[in-house]
Parts: sequence; C-alpha cells; structure tokens
Amino acid sequence: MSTSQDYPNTADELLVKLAKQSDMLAFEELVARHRDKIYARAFSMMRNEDEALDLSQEAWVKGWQRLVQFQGESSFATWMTRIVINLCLDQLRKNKRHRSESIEVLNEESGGVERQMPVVEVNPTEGLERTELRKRIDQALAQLSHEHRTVLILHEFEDLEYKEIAKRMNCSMGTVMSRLFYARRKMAGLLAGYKRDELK
Amino acid sequence: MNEEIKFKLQAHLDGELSDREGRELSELLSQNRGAQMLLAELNFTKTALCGNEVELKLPETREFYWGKIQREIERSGAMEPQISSAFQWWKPRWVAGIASACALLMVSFIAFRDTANYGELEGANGDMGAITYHSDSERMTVVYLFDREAQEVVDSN
Repeated sequence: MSTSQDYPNTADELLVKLAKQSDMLAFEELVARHRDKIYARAFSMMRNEDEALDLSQEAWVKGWQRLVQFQGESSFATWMTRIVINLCLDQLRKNKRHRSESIEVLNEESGGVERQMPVVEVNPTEGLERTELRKRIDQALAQLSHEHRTVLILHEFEDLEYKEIAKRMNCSMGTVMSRLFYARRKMAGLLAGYKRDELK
Repeated sequence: MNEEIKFKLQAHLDGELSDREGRELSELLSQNRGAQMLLAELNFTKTALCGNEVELKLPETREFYWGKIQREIERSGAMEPQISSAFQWWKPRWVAGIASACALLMVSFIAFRDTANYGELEGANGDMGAITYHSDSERMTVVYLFDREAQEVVDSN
C-alpha cells in the first residue's frame, strides 16, 4: 500500500477505504484515533478495566474482519461503538449466567426500593460545575446494576430508541421501559444523596 | 398512579408516544400534581446525563494496545478484511452445486456407455476417441473425449 500516505491527516472515510484494501497502517491510525472512545464505552458497561481492555481490543479485531460490511451509513466511530456494545452485552449475558437468581436480580424489572422512593423535587444537579457533574454521574452509574446501567447508556449516551434497545438487550419493549424508568429513579435518588452529603 | 401511567410519562419525555397518547397524557398532567412531579424528576436525570458522560483515556500506550490487536489479527489469519457474510453463505453452495452437476454428468455417461444404446451414440476416428450422446426429448448433448490407446489397454485386460 502507499507509503507516502499522510495517515494522521487523512479523513476517516479514506482510511476506511485504504484499510478495506488491506492497508494495516490505515487501520492502525483508525484505532489510534478512536481507541479512547471504544475503551470508554466498554468500561462504562463492564466497570472493569481488564474486561474493558480485552473487549475493546476484540472489537477492533472484529472491526477489521468485518470492515467490508461497513458501508458508511453511520460514522466509523459509531459503527465500531456498536460492535463493542454487542461484545459487552454478550459478556454481560455470560457473566449473568454465573450469578444466582437473587432478589436483586428480580428487582431489575419490578423496581425494588425505587418503587417506594419519594419523588426528588429539587434538581440535584443544578449549579454543579461540568467536571463535578460528570464525576457524580459516573459515581452514580457505578452503583447501578448492569441491567439498569446498560439501558441508561444505550438510551442517553447512544441515543437508541426503546425498540432498538430491546433488540440489542434481547428483551421486550416493556422490560426496557421498566428498566429505564427505575434506573432513572435510582439515579435521581443517588444524585440527591450526593447533594445532601455536600450540604452537610 | 399505576405503572402503565408512569411508563407512559417516561415515554412522553422520550418522544416515544403517539400523538393521540401524548394528548391523553397532557390532559392527565394538567390535573395530576403527582404526575407533574414525577415527570420533572425523570427530566432531571435525562437532562443531567445528556452530554455528560465522563471522558476516559485508555491506560495503555498506542504501540502496546495496537500490538495486541495486530497479533490477534495475524493469529486469526485474517490479514485482509474478510469477504461479506452473504458471499460466504453462497460460495460453498455454488462450489457444491458445480461438483454435484459434474458428478451427475459422469454417472450419466457411465450408465449410457454401459447400456450399449448406440443408436444415440456416435464414435470418432483417430487417436482421440469421442462419444457423443444426444437426446431430443431431454434437449441435451454430451461429448466424452478419451485416449483411444489407453481405452484399448483397458479393454484387453
């Protein structure tokens, strides 16, 4: 492949085209450009650094192998993100098989304590600096169950509709709505808790 | 407030309700303080999350991270992006189809050669032998070429 190609200054679209012609240097540039984003999505879903590293790297290998299927309907980064999300969902399903059917698991759909939680009346994030807000959101997301966290990530960060989330999570639309509802309620409760701690 | 209404409130917030359902819910919201408060709380979370995902950096160097990916690509033998799955689906069938057709042709020829139905067969002179089978009813012509000397050796055995 062309050795005179200025890869760092080449647009994603052309790098993809070159990579499709077996140009590994072009693919390496794509990896370098989007690796943080792909790793961050894997980490946000798995909450485990080692698993996130492995799954993000596996996603890149799959991305290379399936590159000819990428037709450019979405951006390359979005396409890669979908691949890593699917790998994470598969891994979470495998992990879940090893978990016992506890009350906690049953509460994913029925809401558990969030059913009885009073409504948070004052916006718990109002007036927060962006860095602090992001930190608290990350802290709260870490305390959710995998199911609640995943549905929030897919809806709020990936902008997927209920139907698409149901398809990816292999569950009904009703389950998605229920999980999303109780995940949001739990998040509101957690964020309100951080606000109370701050005021103490 | 039952769960169906709660989930509809959320669907309203996410723009997942039909126009008719949206109008019905707006009516309920105008009369129900609890529904208004719940919708406001759901909105706090939705708004807070929007665009506020924490930014993470990969805890490995470019070379180290890429090295593992490259090794895995090489190990899997996929040094070129693979052909699409659709192509992979039909390719073996295509090859199998051709093989089946060839086998059928050979079997047909052997069967006809042994039946001595030479009314439909023509021989050819010279070193190279040829037998042509033609069937009007099946609209088919098969030409079989063979080495005459080799055939004679086989026959004498």
